[in-house]
Amino acid sequence: MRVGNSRTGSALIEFAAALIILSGMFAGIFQVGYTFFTYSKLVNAVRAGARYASLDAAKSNTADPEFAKSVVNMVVYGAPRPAVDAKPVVAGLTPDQVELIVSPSAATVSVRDFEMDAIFTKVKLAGRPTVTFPFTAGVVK
Amino acid sequence: MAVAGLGIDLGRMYLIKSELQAFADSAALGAALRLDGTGEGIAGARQVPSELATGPNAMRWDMGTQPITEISTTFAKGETEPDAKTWQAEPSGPGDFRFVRVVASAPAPLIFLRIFQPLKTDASVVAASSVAMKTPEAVRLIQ
Repeated sequence: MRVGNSRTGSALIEFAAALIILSGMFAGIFQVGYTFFTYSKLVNAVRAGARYASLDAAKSNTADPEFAKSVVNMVVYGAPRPAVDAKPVVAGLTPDQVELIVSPSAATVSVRDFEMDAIFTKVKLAGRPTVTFPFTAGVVK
Repeated sequence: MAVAGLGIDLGRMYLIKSELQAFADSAALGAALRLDGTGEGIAGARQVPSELATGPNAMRWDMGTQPITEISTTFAKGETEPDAKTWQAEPSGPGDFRFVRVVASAPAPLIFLRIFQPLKTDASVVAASSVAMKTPEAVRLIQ
């Protein structure tokens, strides 16, 4: 009986030690994987917004406020005119964290001051991802 | 655990591919815009990818931290589709080059996958390609 109890105790201690190590490893893997997943969604959202912005025919250094709003909506909600109860394509992303910069030849969209919450840690993004697309509307030979 | 580790490497490669694809799409469109049937147009088109890869709003890879440096730009003639025989990086003279292909590549760092590689390299090349077409009315991506 004593030998059996001792083995049970050892197994419990080993299990507890392994659990601590495995928990840390799984937490790390989840954290990295979730960060990649969220950033990938951000890249696609920003690309969609920049491509949408590049269809604007106006080529000046300032964007029309209404059009700028529709570009930001494209990034955040995936549609230029989203429904009232639309949810952001990336959790936690808000319109004021999306920046649109226009030049006479191109539109640049980037994400500012966005924190990716991977539960165990937070990754702050300042100015990334950034995507620039040239204006392609109204092309003449 | 090994599978999860592989997932990290593959996920990172997928992410880098997304970033490079956005860059290649933008560069191909921008380069196609400059094509005007002259040698100057081709020279201008060749500059577009490097312009996008530098400056304060440069597009980058590896979660926006690394500059994109491996870029190749080629041109082709054709009507509705590029003539495969006419792809060339440096056209000898002006011509009816209406297609631009931009290929961007980057060495994606490997953490777990290197164990399974025979050469044990610490990076794997990830590339993205995009082809844009210039017509009198529009510029568009075709591939």
